[in-house]
Amino acid sequence: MSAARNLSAAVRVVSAMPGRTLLLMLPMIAGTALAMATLAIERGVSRKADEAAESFGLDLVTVRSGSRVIAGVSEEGKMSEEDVKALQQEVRGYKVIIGVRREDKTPVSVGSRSGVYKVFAVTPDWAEVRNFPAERGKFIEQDDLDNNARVCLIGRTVQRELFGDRDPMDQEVSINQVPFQVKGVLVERGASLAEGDRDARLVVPITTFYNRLYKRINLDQIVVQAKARDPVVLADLAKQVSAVLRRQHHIAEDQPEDVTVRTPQMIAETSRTISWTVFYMMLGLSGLCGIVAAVIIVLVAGQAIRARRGEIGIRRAVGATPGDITQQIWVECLIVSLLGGAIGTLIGLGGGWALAHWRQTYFGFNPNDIFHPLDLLGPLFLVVLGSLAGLLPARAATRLDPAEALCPSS
Amino acid sequence: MLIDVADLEKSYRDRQGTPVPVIKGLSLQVAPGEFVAIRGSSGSGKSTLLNILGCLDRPDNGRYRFDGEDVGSWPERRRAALRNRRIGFVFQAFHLLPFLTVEQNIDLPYTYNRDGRRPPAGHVQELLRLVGLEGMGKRYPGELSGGQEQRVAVARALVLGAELILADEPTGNLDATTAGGVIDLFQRLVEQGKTVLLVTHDPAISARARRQVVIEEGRISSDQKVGQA
Repeated sequence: MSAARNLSAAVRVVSAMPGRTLLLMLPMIAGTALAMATLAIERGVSRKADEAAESFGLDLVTVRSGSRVIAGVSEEGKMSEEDVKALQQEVRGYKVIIGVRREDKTPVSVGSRSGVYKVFAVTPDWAEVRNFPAERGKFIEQDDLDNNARVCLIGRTVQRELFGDRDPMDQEVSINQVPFQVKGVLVERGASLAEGDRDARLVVPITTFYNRLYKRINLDQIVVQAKARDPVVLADLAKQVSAVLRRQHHIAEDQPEDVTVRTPQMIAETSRTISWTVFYMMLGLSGLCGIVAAVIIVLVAGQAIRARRGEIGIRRAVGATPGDITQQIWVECLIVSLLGGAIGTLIGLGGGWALAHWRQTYFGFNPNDIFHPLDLLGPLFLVVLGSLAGLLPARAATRLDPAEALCPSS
Repeated sequence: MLIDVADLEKSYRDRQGTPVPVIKGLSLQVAPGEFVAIRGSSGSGKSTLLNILGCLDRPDNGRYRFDGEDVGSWPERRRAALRNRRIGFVFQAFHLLPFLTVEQNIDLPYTYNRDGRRPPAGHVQELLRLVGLEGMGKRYPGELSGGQEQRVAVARALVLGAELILADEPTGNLDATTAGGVIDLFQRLVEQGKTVLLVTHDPAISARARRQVVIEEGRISSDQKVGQA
């Protein structure tokens, strides 16, 4: 009952002074908007990073040549079939270990149409390990490897660009001027941050690649599939792989590795377009806005109490108790905080949505990324901070002596 | 007696913290329906007395009975309810809330009425008629003259049917003609059975009351009942 009447009194005051209300709300709006946008962006970025890891396979440890990977292109291959054999013998807890050769810029043509694509030289296990099976036709088989068969599977981008509406099955395609027969089309996988367009590729038997296309002995990639998706298992596997390859390549303890061993977690981390530092800085800034909002509430509302002595005095004279005054002033600060928080939340959501739209590649536009109920904890924290700050002027108002407040000289 | 105070004492502390006595053993009885003017020079303690009678302040010593009840010892919540239902205030500075309309200002005591009462239909309009501000209910205080503002304050004091009107220099900010109009209004209220206590230092205003009390240095120096002027 008393809460309802003090609420109505507070609403009247807040709505009667839009300028002061807006001034009190601004830092709250900024803080909550920043918090909501930051959380939405972070979720988009994280999802993209997770997708990048997932595109490699969440149960895989991948090994690339070179100690660093620049823009997805590794240094010249230094790993050999012997490394694969050594790993197969010594590593514990793996399901499959395969070696892969690849050429990233291979000219491919069909009749008058041509393009430059990635060619992967693989074994039959690759389809399952990389989760990249044939959608049509058959994947590379052991027979193809044994016979150095000039067969290939093509990605959907290659199909679209080189064949258009024509059926590519059993057609001839020229890979680096060597004719191959299309024995299948790979499933469509789309683009990922880590690998780019994953459908702009062709897959050929690893033996044919060596004997007919590129005389390259070394492997470009070794893929280790774990028995479980457990990050601890994968980290242990990565450690074992590093140790074996160090020994295989005769690298001393104090020397850097000549290969890069990556787990899905590492791929996700390197695929983040916004670092955790930036994320925490933005959240910190939003928290700072909350503190500024609290300080502004204390200062402006406190100043207003001095200016509103007559109002508080007359309210006391017509029957308000000190409790009524505390409640009213506090509710005014609460309304300002809630209103600012609500407006800021909407602006933040709008900002997150706009950024997601504008920079799809980075943040990934997905309506599910923009809002999560738990995000409201951010604005809620700021609103609680603001309303707690409101207790200070509310208490100051209570201490005001009504007789003194109503004195003509005051 | 509506008001019965005896041996009232009140002092304030100055900047050095030394108690400065303002009311020194004052006694006063006021019957229902009286129109009392309290006169005195600046600092004589008349406003302090009015604040104590209005339950806005508490005496240091002495007894205060309102309608037979010892309200001096009541807790703040009960005193607030008494102010709300039975006492109306009119101040020199009007103290209208500028962001509320005239009607909303008059209505203000209902906000703090713990019986949950709402003004009966047409009640505020009736009060506006009584104070001569018919048709001005939707205006804001900033659109009114000083005399009109004080009339709104009188209507606010009456909205919950207060028996006692305490007016502290109600004509202090008004010209002589307008001030006369406000005093006429008080006289009409007294005729309707209200009790009015009016603090002023203006002898001409004081002369309009039926009883004149003079306070000097915190004590009553003169208390005279006079015929209506």
